Amino acid sequence: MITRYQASAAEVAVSSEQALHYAGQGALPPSRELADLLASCLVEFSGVAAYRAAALEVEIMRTGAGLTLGPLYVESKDLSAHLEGCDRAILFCATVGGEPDRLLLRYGRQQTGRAVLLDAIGSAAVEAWCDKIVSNLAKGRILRPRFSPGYGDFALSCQGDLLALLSAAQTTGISVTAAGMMTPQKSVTAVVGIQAAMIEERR
Amino acid sequence: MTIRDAIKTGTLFFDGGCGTSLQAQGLRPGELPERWNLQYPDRILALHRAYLAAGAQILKTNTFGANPLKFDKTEHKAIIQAGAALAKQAVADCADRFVALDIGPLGRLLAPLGDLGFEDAVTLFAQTAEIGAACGVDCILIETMMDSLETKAAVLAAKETNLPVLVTNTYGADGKLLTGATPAAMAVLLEGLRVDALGANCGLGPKQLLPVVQELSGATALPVIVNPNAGLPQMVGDSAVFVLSPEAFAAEMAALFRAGATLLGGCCGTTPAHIAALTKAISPLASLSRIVTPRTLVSSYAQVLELGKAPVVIGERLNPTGKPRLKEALRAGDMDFLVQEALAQQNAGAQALDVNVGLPELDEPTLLPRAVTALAAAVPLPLQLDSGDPKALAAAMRVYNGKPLVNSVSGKQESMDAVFPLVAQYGGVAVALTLDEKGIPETAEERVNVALRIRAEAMRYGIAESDLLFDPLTLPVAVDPQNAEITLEAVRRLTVLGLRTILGISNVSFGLPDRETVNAGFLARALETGLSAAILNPLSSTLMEVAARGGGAEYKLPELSQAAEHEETGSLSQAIERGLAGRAETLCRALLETEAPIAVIEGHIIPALDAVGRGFENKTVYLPGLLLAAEAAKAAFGVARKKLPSVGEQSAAKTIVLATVRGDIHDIGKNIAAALLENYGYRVLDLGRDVPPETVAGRVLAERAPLAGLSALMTTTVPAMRETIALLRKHAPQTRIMVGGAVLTEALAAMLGADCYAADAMAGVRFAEQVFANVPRGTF
Repeated sequence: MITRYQASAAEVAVSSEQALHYAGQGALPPSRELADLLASCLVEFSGVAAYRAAALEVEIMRTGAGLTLGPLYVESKDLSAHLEGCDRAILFCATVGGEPDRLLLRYGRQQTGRAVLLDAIGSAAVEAWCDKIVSNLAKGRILRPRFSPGYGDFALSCQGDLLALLSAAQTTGISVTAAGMMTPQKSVTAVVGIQAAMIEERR
Repeated sequence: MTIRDAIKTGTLFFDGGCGTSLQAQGLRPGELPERWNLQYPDRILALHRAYLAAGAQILKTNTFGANPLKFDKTEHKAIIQAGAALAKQAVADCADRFVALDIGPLGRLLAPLGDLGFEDAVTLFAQTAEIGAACGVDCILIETMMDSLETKAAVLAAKETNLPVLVTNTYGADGKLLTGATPAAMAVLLEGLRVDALGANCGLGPKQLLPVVQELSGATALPVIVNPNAGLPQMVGDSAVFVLSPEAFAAEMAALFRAGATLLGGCCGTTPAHIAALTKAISPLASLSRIVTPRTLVSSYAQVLELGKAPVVIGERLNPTGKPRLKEALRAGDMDFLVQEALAQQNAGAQALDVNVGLPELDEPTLLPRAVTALAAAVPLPLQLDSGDPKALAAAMRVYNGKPLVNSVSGKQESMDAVFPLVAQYGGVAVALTLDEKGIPETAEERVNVALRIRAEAMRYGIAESDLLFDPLTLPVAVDPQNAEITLEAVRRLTVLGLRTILGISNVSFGLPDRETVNAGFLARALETGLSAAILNPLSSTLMEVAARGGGAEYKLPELSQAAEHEETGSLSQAIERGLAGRAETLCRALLETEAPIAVIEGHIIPALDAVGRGFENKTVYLPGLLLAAEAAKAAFGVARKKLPSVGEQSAAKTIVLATVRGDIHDIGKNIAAALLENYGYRVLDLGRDVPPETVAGRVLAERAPLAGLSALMTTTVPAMRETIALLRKHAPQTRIMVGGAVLTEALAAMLGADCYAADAMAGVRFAEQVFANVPRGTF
């Protein structure tokens, strides 16, 4: 059955360093002004972020050219290679909510610096949220890094299939635009391989 | 008994979970449960009958996801017809059992947060509603809605069938919808839309929904529905399950019943056993009647504002009269400028914003809804839609994400005939001007009489006096010193009658010197007299102080955020390089005392900007620093330009058209490019995001722009970029094209036929410099 998750902003720690990295701040430490602005953006972001996610654990079957992840059939060499040695996988989607997108509309053109930082914070936040869910699902098992539609030859169109499988519209509110983009903007779909127990023992 | 009577008079029980019950019977993840209406009708019928046996009185058809985006036309229709027939068959021999056509979200987010147009959404919902209505269902249940605007689109479609409309939204752990609406905001929006009942479903268990139900009950007089999940799912072994037992569920539901919910049932994880326990637990309790006093409420997507308590300040500055920069922005369709003006008023303490876009050369019925959509998506304050054109009001009220103030209706029959049907259809609090066919009455008594006639006419449309805000009209004291006294006396009399009042303040000082002092004095008197709302300039600290005093302790002035930028030493160039916008503005103003504006721009601002730009290229400054410097430079430019002899020094030949291509809703990269190009003196026409190729080509041609910039983030929108470039090449071969965005590379840009791949924002600036160096003035 699909597991649903929700968390408040206080439960997900967003890394300032990670946010600055996404904003393109490179190796230099931020100036005092930038650090102040970042702090104010973090406060504003956490006032509107509302984390939601859904996950489903499935068996992996290898069938000729493709993979069957529970009810989902995928043809992707890169995903197959990534899941080598895994017999189960976690399919999941996660979002920081729709309100952070309003902040981008609010500041987009006139306060672009603020908008860029808020956008970067959103990216860092959804990553942190994904890590939190995945670690919750690990339960002592060894997990592979997340692999999302759009990586390598794992078709972006699989995003819609993953979301349908997770009843995402109902469980998380994540949907896909006509051009295949997820809304809210800061959303992720991914497959996480669970290493087969045998391999675990061999190590 | 009809369902309309039944929900008004007492407690009614919904059935429980459908999808999760079908999963227990073998429905696989990803399989569409609605198909079972055709594949396994016996199982659906059996589920309905089990719920009826458990005591459910309203059955939801198995049509939650049946919409034209998921199914082709034939299957869509067949699924709804079968779903309605199965539920009707189940209740056929039972008295007072009802069938609700179940409509869930479309699975696409509405613009501007998503890409689905509002009217497209209404049309899609209408297709489902019409098929269901033709099948003879008793009502329509719109459920699991996570976005307020999509909920409104569904309600407008459902209302066209004339069936009763029930609505439940899905709230998150933070007590809000996915896109930010609070329960109170939803209650105000939906009551304005005249739905029959509203509430919450899914997402949470009964215990977690208690605060939501309490907030809904306090905000609406309508019956409140609650269909929770069987608690929060918990991991048992390898899978997540809903753990609340039927008995525990029923016990928690009793608390929701006591909090005011009278339509009760279940959602995910609830079974006929849960509903049986629920009907057993609640039935013995006496039906509770809520006493709800009518209140004057307006809302945005995020907030509810009450009028008639502490006085409310409505910002007047989104009105082009006497504001050249706003006029220019409206003509250019620059909605970002409007958003910034709105934010400035919000920061100054305005609680609602008047929006007027009336300019003779612009089409108000097109522009007002556009402005309202842009503002309502980005600014959390409720809006006052201001137009003398009922067509413009209708278009804006239809798309507004909330319950607006509607400015205005008057005692003229023609005006009431045009505006009141809109208020009845879309919801709103109407500003009623106390004038009629004979003009503005000269005495307070006559103005009150006009108000009472307006109230009587409104009642014919089912509009309560709590949805009217009377404006007894402020006339200039310069014309007649008695004018202010007459208006104030009218406010007093209307207040005594228990009616809410509003005044535009600034007209009182028309034609006088030192208008602010006159306005402040008049405002103070009006507030003492009992005025509910004042339309004024919130950027006037004098007026805001008066408003704060008149409002008593509840009303606080916001702290001035500018104070944070304390006094420092340093030059204008340094302030720009460090990204201190406030400081740059102050220093620029000081420099202008001794230097010519052009000298300040060329000697201080541009060199600082260049230094930062070079720093970015040499990797000693990074993107955030570059953008902060750009904002500081912009602030300084703003001050310096005001001192320049004439505006319009930016020649048309320096025009650049920017757009994010069709299908792409990510525009941060394009915004970065626009901010920097503007800084370098280019006139940037930003067409926004998700822009069709024809719009880009049309604008480039109309503006004779020598350069166009296109942005695309994802591979899926590269074809749209290719199409846009091809169209530009065909119609505007002289125009150079630069492209940027995460998905692009030098090679891909060349393959698409672009002239330049701008790897970052400064690369765009450098290409623009190259293009415009080769454009002789006036030759394009």
